[in-house]
Amino acid sequence: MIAATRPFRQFVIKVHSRCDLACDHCYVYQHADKSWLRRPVTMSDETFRRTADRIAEHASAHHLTRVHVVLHGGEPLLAGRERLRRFARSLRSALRGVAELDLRMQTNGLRLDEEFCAMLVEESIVASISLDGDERSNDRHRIRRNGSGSHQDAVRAVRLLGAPAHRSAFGGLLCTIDVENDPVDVYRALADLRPPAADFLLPHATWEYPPPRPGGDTDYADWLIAVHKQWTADGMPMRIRLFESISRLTRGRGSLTEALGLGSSDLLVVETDGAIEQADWLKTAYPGAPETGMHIDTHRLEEAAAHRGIQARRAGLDGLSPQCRSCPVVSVCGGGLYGHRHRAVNGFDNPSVYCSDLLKIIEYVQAAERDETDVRHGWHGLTWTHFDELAAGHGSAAAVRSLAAAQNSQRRALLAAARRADVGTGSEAGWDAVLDLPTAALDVLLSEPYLRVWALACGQSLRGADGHPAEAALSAVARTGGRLTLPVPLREGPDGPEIHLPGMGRLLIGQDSVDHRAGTVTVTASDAAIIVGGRALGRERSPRGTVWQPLRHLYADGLEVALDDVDPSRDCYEYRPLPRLAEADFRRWEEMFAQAWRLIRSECPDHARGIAAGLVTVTPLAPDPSGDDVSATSRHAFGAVGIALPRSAEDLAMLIVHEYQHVKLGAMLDMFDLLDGRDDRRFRVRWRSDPRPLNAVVQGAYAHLAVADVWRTRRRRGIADVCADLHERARLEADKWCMAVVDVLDAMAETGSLTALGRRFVRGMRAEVDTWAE
Amino acid sequence: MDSYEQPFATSVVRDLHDISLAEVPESAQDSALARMLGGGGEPVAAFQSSL
Repeated sequence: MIAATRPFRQFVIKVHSRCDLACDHCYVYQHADKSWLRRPVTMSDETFRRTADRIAEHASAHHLTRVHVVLHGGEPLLAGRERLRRFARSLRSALRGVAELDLRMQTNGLRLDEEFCAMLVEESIVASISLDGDERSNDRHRIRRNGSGSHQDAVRAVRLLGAPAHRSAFGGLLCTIDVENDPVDVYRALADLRPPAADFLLPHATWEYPPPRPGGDTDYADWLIAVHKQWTADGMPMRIRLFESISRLTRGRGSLTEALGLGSSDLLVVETDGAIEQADWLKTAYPGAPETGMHIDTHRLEEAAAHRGIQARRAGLDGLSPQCRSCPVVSVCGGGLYGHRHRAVNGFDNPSVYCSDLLKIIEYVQAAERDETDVRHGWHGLTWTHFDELAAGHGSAAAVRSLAAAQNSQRRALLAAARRADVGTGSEAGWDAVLDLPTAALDVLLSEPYLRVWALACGQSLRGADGHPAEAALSAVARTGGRLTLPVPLREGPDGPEIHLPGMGRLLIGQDSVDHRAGTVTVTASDAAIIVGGRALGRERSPRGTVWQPLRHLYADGLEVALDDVDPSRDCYEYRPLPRLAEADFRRWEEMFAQAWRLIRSECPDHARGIAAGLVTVTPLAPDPSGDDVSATSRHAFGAVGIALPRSAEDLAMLIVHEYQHVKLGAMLDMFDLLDGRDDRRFRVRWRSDPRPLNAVVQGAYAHLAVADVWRTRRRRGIADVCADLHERARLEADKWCMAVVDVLDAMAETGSLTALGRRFVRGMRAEVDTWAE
Repeated sequence: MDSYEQPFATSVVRDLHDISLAEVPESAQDSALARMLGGGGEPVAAFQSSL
């Protein structure tokens, strides 16, 4: 029942049924099925429009937020540039207000030119090119009808599509394996073209028509292992879908290809005449294998879900042969591509014809990643001890440091992405200085909580880097030693022109300043100081017309936290950050924070350890006029919390503990998939009036686990330590939040939407609550 | 899949701590951006005849 009602999310539209190559391994033209001979050569505008309407109708009926469409062939470029543009617009028009569109195209690239590439960029069509490696390897199969090779034209197309002006439309390279080709030569030929991604496909074969195996039973695995070794030795310069899928499935995540995993098929094909079909590689099995007898004129897409062939591909483990079901890697392999299981006598009830290869390559990749050295040096991770500590709601200093290390790598990647995206904004000198930073200085820069906020905006080209690279480099040098002088362009802040030095403070530039007229200010970092106009900021009087506002810190029993009311990127919460605090307000923060920290240490030392290890910044938020507490966390600002100063130190302690739960869980979610991401339902929770999506439910449960814990502690301490009113409130609050968390954890466990890691995490939370009862 | 053979819960975050900023692979940059931006929805087990 569940499988039958599961929607389709991927749609392959055959826009042209012929090809300008005559590859001898093509499953469309060179295998059993000849249905292409009776199809229209090109899909008409009317058929495409009806297809688009059917997809939109399906997306709307199933509340899909995103659909994936592949323009396919034959060779889709033969449909012509303007026809493809019309198709893209027709699809977007049909889906407007219904679902987001991920529009892709698979092509041989031969007809790509500047105008075609520009159209792809304009219409947001991401194209991938089929290329089988170096010239000799590629032209072994990928030939024209006159027998000439296609390599040179395909490589020209890849270079054109990979050029900066078109790169946003470049999806990657798709390579069909021939074990006669040298795997490293093929890999290098692809990697040298710097694609964002690649995949290696097993050539289509069945038990009747097995693949050539000149070297033995595991030729294809051995070939892929040679590629994997070179790829890892090269630092994995591009994503390889097959290897990434094995890795993901091993960790309980979803596959990125239908060729692996037990996930249910969610793909339909629409042919040039509007016929609704199953995946077209089934043509390799027997003539007519993909046909459903349905047509977009007469059938809703939901009806295709009931087709026996589609049902068979949605049966998961139960749909596999007995040999597959007992296999140790079945959850990763999933029986391989459905078409590769076919045998005339019993249909698809067999292991893959590539069974021995799949077993070997999966076990190889798993072993490579299991090797402790590789794990430590290739990917961030958590020991199970740290994972379970965090699941219980706490997390030692070491666990939090592991989270911080992963955040550091992500900030590094995002900073590199920001640099790559920041072209022609005049920030080159700043970026050069950032690149030249010594290791210690770069580490300081990467430890700034709000770095990710601006790097992410810059990496998406939502904003230019402006003066930020220069400011960041100067600040990092000033805090770690060395000397650096740079011109810094002024930014327009809420209080007028300014420069901001992350982790140090900001310099307001008055209207009568010389620098204001120039639009830049020359800044020197030297001897742990920032020097402007010959004056060391904070040590000497600021230059005429400027005001230096240093970042202030809160100190409490060995804990030092920045009270950041100057960073321009701190406006990342759903509440408004306060402008620079007056000195009296800062003093109130100092006093209440010290009291709150003493409470946290005494009331909940398990939480205090993690907070001490990872809380770097508190940003003051504007209070709510109603007097309700205001606090927030940004997923992009690990180590920072936003809080409006509450009425009491008890309240501030609670808000810090609460928000720091979100900090930790956000970092966990950056590292691990705890949810399978397929559950669109909304759930009632006791801490919000509106139904919440599952990811928000997890966040709320984790935060309120700590809230319940704090109230429980306050109740347990009794009236000796707190006033009677607070004690009574503690009793009520502890019971309320404890029940709320238990309800939600039990409901989450029943959703079926947790990954293996998610189940372990939720079990950890539930086990912690169970210890309270004891 | 509730069994864990690895000594670590291995994350999806590439360890870049010893890679200079200029040498961070484009693939790592794109992966980080995609993950930070939610990846545009859940990944799909994609049609294998396209990328």
